[in-house]
Parts: sequence; structure tokens; C-alpha cells
Amino acid sequence: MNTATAVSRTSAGTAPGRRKRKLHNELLAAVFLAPYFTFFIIFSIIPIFFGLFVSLHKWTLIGKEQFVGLENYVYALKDADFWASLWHTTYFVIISTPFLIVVPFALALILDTKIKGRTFLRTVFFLPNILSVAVISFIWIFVLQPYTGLLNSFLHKVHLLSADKEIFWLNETGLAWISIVIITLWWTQGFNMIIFLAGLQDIPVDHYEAATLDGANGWQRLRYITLPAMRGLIVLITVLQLIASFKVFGQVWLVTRGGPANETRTMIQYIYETGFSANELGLATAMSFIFFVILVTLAFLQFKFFGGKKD
Amino acid sequence: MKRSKVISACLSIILMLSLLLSACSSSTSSNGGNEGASGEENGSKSNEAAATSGDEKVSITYWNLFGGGDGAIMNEMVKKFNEEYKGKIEVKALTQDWGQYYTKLQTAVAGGTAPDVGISHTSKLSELVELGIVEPLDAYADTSGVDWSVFNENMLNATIFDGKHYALPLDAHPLILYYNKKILKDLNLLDENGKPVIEPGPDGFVNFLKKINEGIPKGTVGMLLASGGEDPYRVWWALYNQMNGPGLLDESGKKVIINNEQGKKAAEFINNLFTSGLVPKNLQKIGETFQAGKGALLPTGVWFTGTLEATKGLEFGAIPFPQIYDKPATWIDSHTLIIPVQKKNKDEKKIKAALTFAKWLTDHGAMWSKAGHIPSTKTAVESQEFKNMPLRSDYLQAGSDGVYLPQSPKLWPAKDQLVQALDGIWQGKSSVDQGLDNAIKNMEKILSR
Amino acid sequence: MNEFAGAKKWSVSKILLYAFAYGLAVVFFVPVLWMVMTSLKPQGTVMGDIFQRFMPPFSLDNYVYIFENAPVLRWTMNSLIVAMIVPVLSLTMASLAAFALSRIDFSYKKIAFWLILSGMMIPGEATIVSLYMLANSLGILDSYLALILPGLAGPLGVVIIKQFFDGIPGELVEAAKIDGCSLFRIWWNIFIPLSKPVLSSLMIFGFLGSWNDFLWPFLAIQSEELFTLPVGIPFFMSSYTQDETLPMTVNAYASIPIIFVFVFFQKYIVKGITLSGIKG
Repeated sequence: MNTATAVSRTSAGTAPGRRKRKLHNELLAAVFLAPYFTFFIIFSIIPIFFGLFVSLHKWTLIGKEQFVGLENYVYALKDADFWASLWHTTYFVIISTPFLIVVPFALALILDTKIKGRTFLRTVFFLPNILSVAVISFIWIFVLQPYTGLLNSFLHKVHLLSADKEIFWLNETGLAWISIVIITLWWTQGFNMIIFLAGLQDIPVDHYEAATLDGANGWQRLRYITLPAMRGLIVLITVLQLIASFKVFGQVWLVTRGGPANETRTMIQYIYETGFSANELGLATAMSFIFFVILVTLAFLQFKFFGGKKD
Repeated sequence: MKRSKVISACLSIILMLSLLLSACSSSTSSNGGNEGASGEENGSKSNEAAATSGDEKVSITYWNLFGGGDGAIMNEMVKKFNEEYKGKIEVKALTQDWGQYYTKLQTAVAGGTAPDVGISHTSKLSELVELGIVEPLDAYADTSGVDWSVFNENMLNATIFDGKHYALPLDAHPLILYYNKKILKDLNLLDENGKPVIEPGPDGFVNFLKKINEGIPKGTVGMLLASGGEDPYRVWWALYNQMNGPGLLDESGKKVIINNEQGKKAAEFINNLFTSGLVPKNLQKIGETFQAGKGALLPTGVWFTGTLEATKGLEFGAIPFPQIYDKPATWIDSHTLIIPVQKKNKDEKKIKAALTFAKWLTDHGAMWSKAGHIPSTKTAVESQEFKNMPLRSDYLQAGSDGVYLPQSPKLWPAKDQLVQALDGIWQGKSSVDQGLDNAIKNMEKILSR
Repeated sequence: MNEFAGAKKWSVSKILLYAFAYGLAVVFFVPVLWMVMTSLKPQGTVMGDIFQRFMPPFSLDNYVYIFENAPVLRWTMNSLIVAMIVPVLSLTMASLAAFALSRIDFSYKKIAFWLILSGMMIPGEATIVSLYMLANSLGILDSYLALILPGLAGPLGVVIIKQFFDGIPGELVEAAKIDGCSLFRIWWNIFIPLSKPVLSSLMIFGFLGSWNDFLWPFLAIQSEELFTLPVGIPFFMSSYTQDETLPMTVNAYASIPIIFVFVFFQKYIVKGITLSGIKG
């Protein structure tokens, strides 16, 4: 059987032939999708649907207690703390996402030049990624703590900060957010950087060569070749970054504990506290689903408006 | 044709991987089996009497959350127990991450794979009892030789629910006050026994702190009290109870009753330490600073003793948290030993073995107190081993004066909210009144669910 | 490629670029160095002063200690097994799925894509207990299967690979078809080699993700013989005391394999073969 005819861009045949081909495509796609979907359905979809079931109950880590219908959802929607943590997370997403896209993109561009020591730089820029969240939190508390911390000591030394003053990076809400953004950027940008770098490798060299022959400078090449070619990837990475940023938890939890006075408590932290500390798994799952709906809507809108017509 | 080649290649890769997997897992089990078998062999040789009397060796699993130095001491104790009970009981100890320990314990009970004996904090016990995942011990205590009367009453009472015993307290870890001997001596603030001289009353303590702050070199901190997190909350609880505060919750367990004169006074006292600059705000890594000799006083839990003793070049002492108000009282919690419920294969032999082990641990509390903890039994406190250890006797009394948090199944999450609300006060975000009101509001929200 | 960085003359912009890149490298590097230096300090050392950390005396005692006091080698083996098998298997399956999503025209494509994408949006905290119950009823708890199988469901790979497959020119496929290649061959002989950069990146992340994963292995594994490194590491950390040396030692040790994996795979993140270079 000649499977190659199944490829989508095949030129048109007769109508019945097309229908047959269509059916053939459905089956063929199923064959390609089957291995992945087997595991995806068992280990992602089933737990999610089971989660839906859990969210309709009063449920602890020990198991089911009683059916409560939509009560968990109603409670979550009326809960001021739920909305507060959702806002904290949104705030984090707004202030961090631009940096988490632009910085790794810029670094990927630098690594794509003929700069000397590329391999070294690539490894070093990626290095923080390998550290566990516990380690990076530990390191950054050490950097940011007042009185003896690396940053304040440095500021004192260069007289940017007078000797009797201290900046409380982790204890004042505004500064705490700035610190969290810096920590997150430093820790996680390597992922996006590497994916961007992989994307840059896909742009054919001859495009640049042709542009250079036409007298385009570096900026023009970026503007007219790199960015258009990378557009799809940038949209995708932005969506993935948004999803990841909305799920921010570990580093905030370890660095500020959601404080002061719950003002840096993120959505996932609240879900985590509700589910595991307060042992309200049903409620926590209901919150997760509300959160899920918000994320799906956002991702959908984003693809719709920035993804271009081609799907 | 070619396609089938690819498929068969894929299949063979998967097959190989699964073989690899099964090879690995079988080697694991055979390793484990060997260890067990050789252990049994040794056991039967050295302890034939037990074998002939028809006793089979009982193997039990023991989950704890002791890592680092504490873990090393605990593992040493388990090793010693296993030697003493060779051929009869074998304990397999497993250190679990303390941050997620209770999550794992609960899911394991739900999944029917709970350990035979585990650790629980006294303050977490109410939740575990409420969920029905710890066995009441009274039915087995006598036959396993557990004598409740040897336990410290304060520590034991906190583990009794509706008149039933649910745990053997292993230790107590109250909030105490560490002090740097060298610094205080240089300032003439130590008496002839090497204890700090603190005048009575809140003013007395403030004066004491002022004297330290005036005398110490630059870069050294008078009192290492963080203005956020658990430590200031523990101090608040200590002061609140020193003034005979009426407790955390009312009788229903749903109402929080801390916004009263005592609660405010305690919060104001602490808040003034920060606002007046007697204690610098937002100190971090206070333990390390004390270890480096850059702090005169450190109020924290007894668990720090072992680490401080291992610190080179540090001369320090420890006393119960000073009585600033009407009576001695402090914050306290304990590690206790519990028998989790087995959903499948409940085995009385294992329960008894587990209790024998738990009792042995509490009897040998002197070993455990190397880490700094206060032993829970008279047996341990009166042992020569305990008496020979420095410092522990200096703060022993705190174990009886400490006030446990009340029994409530939502205690931990409620306490987290108390800590957050108090942080709001120390950070100047809310007044003392507002802060306590916030605490009440957020705690009652959790308690009423 | 941006030419100016490679120009022979040291122009101002080039100097700035180098200063920026290498200055940043220091910021990225120092904390890791800090971790390594801390691990070389004897247990119980007081590190009040920043510079003290980077100064002798150093010793390898902590490394000896971790090997002598816990089955760290065994845990490392387990971690290696899981972190190598999971990305290889999952990338194979993910790239197959991505190929279908990118190159086959079928009716449930959108649904499939959004199903996968939304799989990422449910917080793991919401489903981990369900997953535990599922694994329990499948009887795979406390086994290698529990460590490996759920990792194969990761959606990130599919979504990213699809994006890269989308960029592969249609002419290549057409040419291959004319040569009579099956779709499997096209996937294997064209798409996989052309996607080396992204597949290598995803290998790195897959390895990293499995290697650092904590909560799931922690819940799923009960025997010490099956612990992975992150599950075992708390053995060296106490909730109370603040000794940094041992935790940093285990963490430094645990990061060595990742660095190797990164250095090995990153060299494949290079310019793909140009269009004319391949034929189906």
C-alpha cells in the first residue's frame, strides 16, 4: 500500500477517492497517535476525569467523605483568598512574561553569532536550570537577605546604599515580587533560550546570505528574516511560558512562604495549601478546574489572535 | 516492507527496555532478599532460644522525618535496637522528606501500604486521629509493656484523645533561649553559674536587651529574632500563656479567642522590639549568625543544641524561655510514635513489635536527646547517660512548662494563617488589633470548613 | 548568523557584546560555583563571611560521607535508569504524534491538539492523588514502572515538536513521496534527522525533568532500594538544623550527570542540514 498518498497536500483526485483517502488518513493518524495517547489517556486524562469526580465531593488524602455537588466550586468562587491568589499569580505573569521571552531570545541570538566560547556560554547560561528549586531558593535567600546578603553588602560597598540603611528584598511586597521575577528569570530562562536556539538553527543560512548581499544590516536581518521565521515558535513559547508562569509555586513558596501576610501567595500555593495542608482535596481540585478553564481560555485567545490564520 | 522493519525495530527496543527494567527490579528484590536472609541467619545463630520457643522474627517498617544530624542519631538508635532484638524484631527505618511526610503517610494509609510505626508531631496528631488513620494503643499497651506512668504528664496528656492513648511521646521540643556566653560574660551579664542575669518583668527583659545592644561590637546582633515566620509566633504564644491567656480556641473548636488583653499585650511587646530597633527587622538565617558568634541571644527550639555543640569555637548556654510575665510558659511541640492503621493485612504481631520498638525508643530518650530534644520519660531523664550530658538539664523544666496548642483537626493550616497574620503586624502592614482580627478571620475560615 | 560578532576588527558593538555575554555568564555561574564550594567545606563550618566560602580549607569528606551513610549509588542508578528511559521513549512517541498532528489531515486533529495542550494546564497538585490511586489499582506502585510510565504522558514534547515539524518544507515530503517512501520512513528518515536540534533540547529537558522530579516518585516509591536521588536527598537534610554542607554536597553531586547530558546533547543544537542536502 502506498501510504505516501495520504499526505494532506496531495493533489485532488476523484470525489470517492478523496473520501476513501480521508478515512485512510483518520486511521493512519490514529496509528501515529496511538502510542503516545495510550499513556496520555491513562496517566493524564483518566486522573483528570477522576479529579472532576473528586471535585464534587468532600475528599481528603484518605479518601471520599461525601458527595457535595457543586458546593466546592461555589465556595471557591466566593472565596476572597482564591481571587486574591489568582490576582497575585496574574500579576506575576504580567510582570515576568515579557522578560522570560525577551531575555532568552536575546541570549539565543547572541549564542547564534560567531561569538568566541559559544559552547561555554551556552552551558553557563543554561546552568541554573539544572539546580533544584530547593537549591536556587537557598542561594537567592543568601544573596538577597539584609545585613549580610551579597546584594546589600555590594550596594553598601559601592555606596549606592548608605551604611545604616537596608533594602528588605524579600519582606516588602513590591520588592518581593521583583526578587521573585529575577529569581525565576535566572533559574528558568535556559529552557526558552535553548528552544529558541534550536529554532534559529532551522532558518536556512542562505536567507541571511542573500540579505547580506542585498546590504541588510544586523538589525534589518533580525527584523525581516529572523523574527518572521521565528514567529510561530515565539507564539508557542509565549503560550507555554504563560502556562508555566501561571503555575508558579516552588520558588515563591520557599523564598517568601507566600508572605508577608499572604501577599505573595500564588494560585498553586493556595491550591496546594488547601489540598495538602488543610486536607481539602475536593475543594482544591475544584479550584484547579476553575483555574484550568481560565488558562484554556487564555491560551485559546492567544492562538486565535497571535497565532495567525494558518493552523 | 521498510515500514515493518521500523515497527519491528521499535518493538524490539521496547522489549529490550522492558527486559532491562525487569532485570533491574528482579535484582532489587533478590538483593533485598539476600540481605533479609543473611540477617535471619545471623539472628537464628545468635538467638536460638527465641527461635526454638516458636517466636518468629517480626519485620516492621518505620517511617520518620528525621534528616541530617537528627537522622544520624535516630538511625544509630534503630541499629542498636535491631542488635538487642536480633532474631525477634527487625526494624527497617526509612527517612522521608519532612516537608511532604504527612502527605505520603496519609496516601500510604489510604493505599493500604502504611508503615508499621511512624512519627507524628503532637500538634498534627489531632488531624490524624480525626481522619482515623492512627490506631488507639490502649488494647496493646499492656502486653507490650508500655507503662504510661513513666511519661511526662504534660507531654503525654497532649496525645490523649477522648481518654484514649494514640501515641507515645518521643520527646518535647520547646522554645528556649540560647545565649552566647562569651558576649554576655564580656558585658558582665552572667551570674556565677554562667546564667544570664535578667531582671523580672517586661521592662527587665527590655533593659537586659538594651544593655546587650549598647555593649556589643558593631555587626553583632543583640537578639536574633526573625520578624517573620515561626519564631516570633512561638515567642508570642509563650508570652500569651505566661499571662494566662485563655488559649487559642473556644470549646467548640471553631472560634478563635486570641484578640484579648493578653494576646494584644504579647503582640505589642514583640512588635515594640522591632519598631524600637531593639531587634533589627527582617533578619534571615539567624541560626547561622548565632553559630558565627555574631548574636548574643537566640530564642528558638531545643533542636538547635546538637548543631550548636558541633560548631567549632562557639561558647553558648541555654535556658528555658525567660519568664517575662506572670508564670513560666513557653511554646512546645513533640515528636510522637504512632501506629498507622493498616487497611490490608492488619497484623497484631506487628503492632506489638512496633509498640515494643516505640517503647524502647522512649526509654532510650537519653540517646535521642543528643540532638537537643527533651526526653519524654522518667526512665530516660533519670538515666546517668542523660545526666552526663551538658545543657539539657538546664532547660529540662521547659518540657513541663511548655503549653501545647489545642487539639483541633485543622490546627496546622490554622496555625499557618496565624503566622501570616502576625507577620503582617511585625511588617507594619497592620496594627496589633487588625492583625489579630485578620488571624481570627482567616483561622475561623479554615476551622469552620 | 549575525556577522558583526565574527568580524575581525574589535568594533565597539563587538566589545559590548562580549562584555555583556561574559558579564552575564559570571552572574549565571557564581551561584553554581557557590554550591560546589559549599560542598567542599567540612561539616559544621560556619560560613558567616561570603568570601570564606571560596577560600580553603577544602575537603572531599562530605562526598565520602554521603556514600558511606546512604545507598547513594543505588539511588543514582535508579535516577539514571528513569531519566534515560523516559525521554527516549516519550520523545519517540511524542514525535510520532507530532508528525500526525503536523502532516496528516484528519478530522479530530484540533481536538487532539487541544487535549494535549490542556493536559498541561491542569495543576499537577490536582491530579497527583488520582494518579496515586490509579497506580495503586494498576498495582505498579513501588516499582520502576511507577517511575517511568506516568512520565511518558508529558504533553510538552508533542506541542514543541509539532511546531518544528510544521516548519519543515512541504517539498521535502513531496520529493520523498515521489521516491515511494512510506510515512514512517518520512518521519524517521527526514523529520527526525531534521529535528535534531529540538529533539536534543527536549532530551536535555526530559532528562532534567525526570532527574529532578520529586513529588511523584516520593509518593509512589516506598522501598529505599527504588528511591531516586531527589527522594533520597532529604536523608541529609533536617527540618531544624541549618547545616548547608551536606545538602549542597548531594545537590552538587546530583547535578554532575545533568551537566554531562547537557554538554553531550547541546552539540547537536547546530544548524540543520540545508534543503539541498537531503533526499528521501
